Amino acid sequence: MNIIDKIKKFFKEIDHIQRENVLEIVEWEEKEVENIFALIVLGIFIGYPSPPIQISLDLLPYMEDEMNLMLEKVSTAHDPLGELFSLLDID
Amino acid sequence: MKNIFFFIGKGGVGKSTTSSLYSIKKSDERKTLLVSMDPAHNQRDIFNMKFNQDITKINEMFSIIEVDEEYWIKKYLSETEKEIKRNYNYQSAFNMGKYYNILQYSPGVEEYALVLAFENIISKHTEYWNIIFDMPPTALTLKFFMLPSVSKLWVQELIKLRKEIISKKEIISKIKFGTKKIETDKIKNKLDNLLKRYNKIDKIFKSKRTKINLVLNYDKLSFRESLRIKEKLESSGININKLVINKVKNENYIKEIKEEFNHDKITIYPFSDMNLSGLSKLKEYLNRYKDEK
Repeated sequence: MNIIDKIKKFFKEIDHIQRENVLEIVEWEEKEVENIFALIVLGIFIGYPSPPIQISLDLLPYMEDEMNLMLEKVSTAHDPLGELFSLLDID
Repeated sequence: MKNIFFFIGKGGVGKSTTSSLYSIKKSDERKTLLVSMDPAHNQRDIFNMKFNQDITKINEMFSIIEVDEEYWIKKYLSETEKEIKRNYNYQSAFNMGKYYNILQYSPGVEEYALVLAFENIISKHTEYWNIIFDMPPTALTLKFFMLPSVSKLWVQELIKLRKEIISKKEIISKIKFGTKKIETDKIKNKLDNLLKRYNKIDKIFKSKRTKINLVLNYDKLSFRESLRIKEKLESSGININKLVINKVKNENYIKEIKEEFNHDKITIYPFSDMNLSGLSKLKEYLNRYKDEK
């Protein structure tokens, strides 16, 4: 294998790694959107009753932290044990 | 607060006609405002005029407003969005503009728009002694009347939860900093304000100065539906003031209606061959039947 082929192979591998990384991020994002969608549509079946829409909307401007927390919860929902361990400080 | 009248009932029984006749009659004595809350806006066809959100004066004593439901929904959503932008640090988190088109069709938004319009009209047009609301058909009207009491229940429960959160925050603050003082809770403040607001509307609905007139015809469907409306409203503490029987051809069945509804206050609008279109025709009808009860 000459030097040019080696360089080509090197860049091909770099490209492959980058693609893998991007794919991982997109897959993660897609899962997140799926979680949010499920929470919105099916929340009522797992114990999230929904108040009249105007109450949710009237409170929304004051609930930035809660919104962020909810989004965070969605992201850790697939690993509740991990969350519990980290809460209890168990490695 | 002056007198508020609602004309409610099944679709097609003549809520718009009877409310317009009643408004004309009332405007002989005092300044009267007729408000069309029904999205079908039949008052246009009755008066042969175009109305909108602003006052249209028919004469010195009588004016008409047509509530634009869509205007109130848009106004409410855009104000909520502005409030979010004022309060949030991380603004891209929730771009309400994107959800406008679907939020305006969410269940509950339509009746809330009517409540917003109602609040605005009764606080803004205080120069009118009588404000008469021509309401939409049964389903939407019932949701409108139920909205304050249902919302109150929710807000009361949310306040309980909020109090729990505040007391826990106080405990944490006490342990960490030795003081129970924590920042004012904006959500609790907002909930308190909402509770006050819904209490106020609920009080107006149940006030003696608010009179709910149930319009019906003597046919089986209208009769049965009117009975259900009465029961439903009474179960939430809202009483019917008067039964308005429209298109009456003979009075033999009035006694039966009184008994079935267990209600004595009745107004009769006799059936007429006249085409009730335009102010002069409406006045002619009132003159012809002025001796009727």
